Amino acid sequence: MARQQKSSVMPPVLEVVGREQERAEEQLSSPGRDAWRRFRHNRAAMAGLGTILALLILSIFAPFMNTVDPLAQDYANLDLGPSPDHWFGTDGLGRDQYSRIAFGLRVPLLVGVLGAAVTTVLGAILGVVAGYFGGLVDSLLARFTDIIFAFPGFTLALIVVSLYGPAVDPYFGGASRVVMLTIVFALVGWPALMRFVRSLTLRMKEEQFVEAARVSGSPPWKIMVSHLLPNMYGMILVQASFLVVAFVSTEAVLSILGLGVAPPNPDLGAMLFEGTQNLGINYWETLFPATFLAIIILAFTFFGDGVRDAVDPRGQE
Amino acid sequence: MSGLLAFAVKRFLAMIVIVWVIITAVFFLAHLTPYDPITVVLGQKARSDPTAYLALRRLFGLDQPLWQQYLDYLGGLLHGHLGYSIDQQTLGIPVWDILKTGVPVSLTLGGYALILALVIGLPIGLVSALRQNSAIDHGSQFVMMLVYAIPSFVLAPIAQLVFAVQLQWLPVAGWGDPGIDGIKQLILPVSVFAAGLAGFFAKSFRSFVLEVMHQDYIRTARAKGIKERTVLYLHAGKNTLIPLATIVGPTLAFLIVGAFIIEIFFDIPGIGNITVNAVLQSNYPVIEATTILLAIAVVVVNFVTDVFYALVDPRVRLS
Repeated sequence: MARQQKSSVMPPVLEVVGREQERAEEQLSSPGRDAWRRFRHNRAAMAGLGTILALLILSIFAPFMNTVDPLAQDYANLDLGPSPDHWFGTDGLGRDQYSRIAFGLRVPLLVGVLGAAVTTVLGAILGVVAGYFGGLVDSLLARFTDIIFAFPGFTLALIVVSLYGPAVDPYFGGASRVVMLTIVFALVGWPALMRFVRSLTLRMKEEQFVEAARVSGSPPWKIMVSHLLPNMYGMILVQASFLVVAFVSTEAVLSILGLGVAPPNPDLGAMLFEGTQNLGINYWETLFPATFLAIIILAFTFFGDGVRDAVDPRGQE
Repeated sequence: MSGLLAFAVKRFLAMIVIVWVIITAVFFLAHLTPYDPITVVLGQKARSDPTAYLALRRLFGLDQPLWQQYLDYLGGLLHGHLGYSIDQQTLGIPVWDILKTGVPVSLTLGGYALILALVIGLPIGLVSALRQNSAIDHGSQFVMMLVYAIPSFVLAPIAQLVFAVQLQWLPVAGWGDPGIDGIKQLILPVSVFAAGLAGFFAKSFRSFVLEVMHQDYIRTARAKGIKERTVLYLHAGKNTLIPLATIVGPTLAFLIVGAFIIEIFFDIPGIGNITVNAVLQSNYPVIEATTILLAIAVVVVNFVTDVFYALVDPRVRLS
């Protein structure tokens, strides 16, 4: 509509110029848009992204996804294989496995995504501060990072969950362990990202756009927040998606060891371990939770690999 | 050489500080818990028999102020005492006596897994690099990425299902039976454990070889007309082993944490299994000791790796 009006006013030559301009705008390239174009053409990465979205939708809207009560026991239907009534079969207490998986996705996804988000923010802030200021601030932060880096995060989680778990269980409903694990992972998980962001900052702060910002009088925090960090979002996203993988795995391991979510509540790791107790009777109880855990982990791995190839195409060679 | 010594001494002092901070943090985390281990151990008797309760408190030093307990614990560690177990079965047994049976088991498991992973991963990585972008390269990279990404807690039950429950070739679990049965028990846990590591080694070794093969001195060697085989083994070989040594070290941390899950799934009486049992019993002296031992192991390995790296690559010392 708008174009027709324009063409009626504009002479033909100008119309051609206008169209060229429009096309140029469509092809306008920015680092972000280029990365997205490369990402879109990476089939494995797009499959990862699609899978992540599908799992998020399934877990968030679990009550509306043709599920039944994940805690409801049915002693007439124990240890069944997949069927139209029970898509993924039932477990040793006759609970519907599909419903338990749909709800059980929530804990690993929440711990993984939330933990990675908090860790990433911590690591990015500390890294950019250490790299930008250098000097004393940098060496103090570096020493602190060395200590946290050496901390065995996994056994720390064991201590915290086993000694403080029972005390916090009454609070936050059933989510207390989730909150606790997220905090533990975030507290010990940031050093690798901090070092990464610090090294990026060291390299980037000598570049002209940072110098220009400094000369024009931007305060340090503004340079860090609106000049340095936005140029690292892609690289940080790569690390964040690998952190999700690490946290989902650790949460699953803790649940398998019996330290995750308290028993009747559905959780993939806990279901996997309960399933292995019934391996000889009904192996579906093991296969479905194992498959979904593998799917979460592979999806975030493919997504992270895809983002890395998209934001840093030179790294592929 | 003095540069290297100064570097090593500096790193060593830093290592001591790190270990001390970790011990302190772990001690206070374990001792500031809201629950009382003696009450848990004694159960009903804690209230009905106050004499026993107080006697146990004194025995474990829990009647002392916290800073005194902390100093005693540090002093004990310096003399190699890791404290005493607090749970119903093993009350009062030194923690080290509980852990020491698990150490050789975990080392055996981890050692075999590491060897198998190197034997599988390195040749695959080498072939991928030498045939870069061929079908072999893409195929093996994809497979290695999968075994690297799929966690052992998914592989373990599937391997048990296929090879033990369905095919019945190997036992589901167990450890240390005499003769051929003992070897059969090793196969599944070691293979599952090695799978992820092999993938990691194959990926890393491929990129190390690729990087070295693009260096100027390789081009020079080829230009001089030296046989490709000699170039590969003599000129490239040495220089891929340096980065390799630096990734095998930190792998130890992975080996230790990975061992927990393998030991649980395959019912292997190693450190991981002992620690998990301690956790389920809230036997905090054992958890404390394991955490500190693991931290020391990781820090020492990193120290050795750093010094080794500085030894072979002088640029590290100067930065």
